[in-house]
Amino acid sequence: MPSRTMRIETAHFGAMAVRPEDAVCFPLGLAGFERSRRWVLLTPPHNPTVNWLQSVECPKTALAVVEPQRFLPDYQLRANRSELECLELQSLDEAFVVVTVNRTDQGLALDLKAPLVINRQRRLGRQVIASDDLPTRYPLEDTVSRTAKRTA
Amino acid sequence: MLVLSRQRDESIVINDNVVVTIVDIRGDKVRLGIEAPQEIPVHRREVYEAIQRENLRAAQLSPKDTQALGKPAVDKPQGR
Repeated sequence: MPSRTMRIETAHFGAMAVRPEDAVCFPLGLAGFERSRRWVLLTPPHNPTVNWLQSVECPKTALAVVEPQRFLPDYQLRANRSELECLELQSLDEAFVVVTVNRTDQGLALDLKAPLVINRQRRLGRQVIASDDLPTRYPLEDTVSRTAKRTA
Repeated sequence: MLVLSRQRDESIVINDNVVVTIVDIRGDKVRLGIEAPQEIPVHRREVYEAIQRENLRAAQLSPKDTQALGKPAVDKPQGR
């Protein structure tokens, strides 16, 4: 039986119909957005590199997130096991990992210290703290030159 | 703020499910052991505040800000 879609307002893409099972629950919330528990991951077809984690409860809230491996091929998630337990992952390979994108004076940057780990099957997510000493603002060199070009 | 004096190996109990133990004291450094249910996140304050700050900043971006990371976004996205 086809599932009924729910209509949500989004920060950047207007009203959208999404399937309720596409919502990912972050039972502990996200730091800064404690009131939002349900989020939907949106992927614009014309820029699939950047996903938008859209709050279901707060239409104006959408975080830009990317898969860190796209920029750091060697990236590996390492976090305290107790932090990952609630995600009910059979193995870490099952985890869909994204990091937030930020704009700094020097261009775009990734917060590698606090990856968002999602179990897509169980629709559960949690923002964890990487056990490695990683920066909260890892500069994306490529965006520096492009930003510079634009403003030149 | 509630202020309590504790010695090494002594604890305090918060609610009925969080126990904070003074594990070691050396000079101006105190090592704490924290036992809490997994649904209670425990963070160093400065780390938590940094994450909160970066999350809030990530929500200030719009698709045009991220064009440098891919092709420009035009169409409506697909839910996934």
